[in-house]
Amino acid sequence: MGGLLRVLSAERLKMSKSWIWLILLASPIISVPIGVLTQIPEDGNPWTYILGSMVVLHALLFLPILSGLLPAFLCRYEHTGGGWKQLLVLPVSRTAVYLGKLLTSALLLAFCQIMFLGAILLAGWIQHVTVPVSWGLLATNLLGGWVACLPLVALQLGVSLSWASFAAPLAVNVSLTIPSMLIINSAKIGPFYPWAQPVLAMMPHQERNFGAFNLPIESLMITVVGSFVLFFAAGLIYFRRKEI
Amino acid sequence: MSEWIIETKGLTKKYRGRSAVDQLDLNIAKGDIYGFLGPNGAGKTTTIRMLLGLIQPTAGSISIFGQELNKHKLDILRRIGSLVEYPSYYGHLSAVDNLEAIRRILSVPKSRIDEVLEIVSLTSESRRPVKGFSLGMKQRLGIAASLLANPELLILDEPTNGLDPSGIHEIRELIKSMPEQYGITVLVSSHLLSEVEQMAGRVGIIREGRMVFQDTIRNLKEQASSEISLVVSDPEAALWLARDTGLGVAGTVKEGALVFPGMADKNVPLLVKRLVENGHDIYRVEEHRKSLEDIFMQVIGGGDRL
Repeated sequence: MGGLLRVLSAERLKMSKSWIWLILLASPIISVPIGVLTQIPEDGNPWTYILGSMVVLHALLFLPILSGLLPAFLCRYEHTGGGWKQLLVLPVSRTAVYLGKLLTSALLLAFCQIMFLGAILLAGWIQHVTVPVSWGLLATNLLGGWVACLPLVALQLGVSLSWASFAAPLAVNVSLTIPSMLIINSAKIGPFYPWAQPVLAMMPHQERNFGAFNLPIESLMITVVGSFVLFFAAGLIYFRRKEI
Repeated sequence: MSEWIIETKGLTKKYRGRSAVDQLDLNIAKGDIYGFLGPNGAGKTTTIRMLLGLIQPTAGSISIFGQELNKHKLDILRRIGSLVEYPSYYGHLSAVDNLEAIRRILSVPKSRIDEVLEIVSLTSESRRPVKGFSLGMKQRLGIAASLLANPELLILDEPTNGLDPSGIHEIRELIKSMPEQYGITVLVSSHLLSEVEQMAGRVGIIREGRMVFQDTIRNLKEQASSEISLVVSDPEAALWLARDTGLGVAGTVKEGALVFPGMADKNVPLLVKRLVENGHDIYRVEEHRKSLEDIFMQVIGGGDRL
């Protein structure tokens, strides 16, 4: 545990002088105008409609891509300067290093979700929404979207650990993300495709009711938790045995 | 020698059936500078990676500070500083931040950063991003990082690789000072004997993954026998005469010169006198001493064990 905290502290330092913060702001900023331009019907909760329109780009595209980008970025420090040797001869277990990178990626994604919450509130404010903010809805969907990203983070961390290249894991991730635009329409495959889970988890139910969107969030979480355990275990076992 | 800091028994690493390291028995004494020698690809780095737990041996055991590496890996690593092959660094960070990233994992006092930068004389450059550093500076930063945790054992893999002569000299002086000033045991690998001969107490020479010589530098030097060669007007006749002197010297004729390996000093004037008395003209009397480098080449090149 102490080892993990020390790794996290070192990761924060390595990250602090980089441009990663800007990437995390990109999606929330781009989403604001989408929310502002959303047509809100007279009846119905305006927050549902704002969230529903803003979520498409954010959760369908940006979140899965960020889930691959962040681990790749965190591993890049070690890949470029030969840092694995230096890091792994320190008195810290490989499990702690692995968890440190995973947690750092997850925390950065959480930061992105918080910024996205800010973007939703900003869009609502610009739209002069007078209805009280639906905190329950927003919290559930933002948290659900974050959790749905974790299997992707675990998988991409494993891939980034094994490939010294920065671009290759990203290419894999993007090429697996794009098909989810089609896959979400399928009630059969959609619920089982990890890259489609963030948007399925974040989309408010009243907004869309076709394809895989019909499923309650509880059943989505079975896919999410299952794939997370699988990718996490595979990545960790691989990394612990890897020859440096 | 009772107290070995590093002791390996039958250490073996196989890659697809081929042994990169084969039945290696390393013994490194406390407070020594151990020169680990061998040509490129002999298995030095593979051995060092096993000593640091970066890769798992196929067979054999490693004991460091008297503890099994497998069972007490983190305790052992806490007491070792190392530099494996080319230096590792985070290019976008300054030298200070590079060391800080490592210090946070080691949790040693912050003051150590200034101390190690002082030791490798990088204090004045410590705020610049490391990607602008020369290779020598990166190498010194790597050594600074290895010293951060106040190690008892320093493992340096080719620390002078790619450095200019003044850089090599600087690093060598630094390594030499480690046992004296800080009581640190050092394992330093190199493919050049000349580089370690001036600092190492003991050397281990490996070739194709096998240890072919492990002893003190002094004993290695004793292998360096000398020979006396005489250039004379009629070598063949002179050789017959020399054999006839009763001095008991066995010589040969090599490239028109008489060559006597391992001839005692007192026999040289007797032989010369005898030759002169029998009308031979002596043009030159020379001593050829095999250099350490010659022995090294013989050890790593030939199949014979010393």
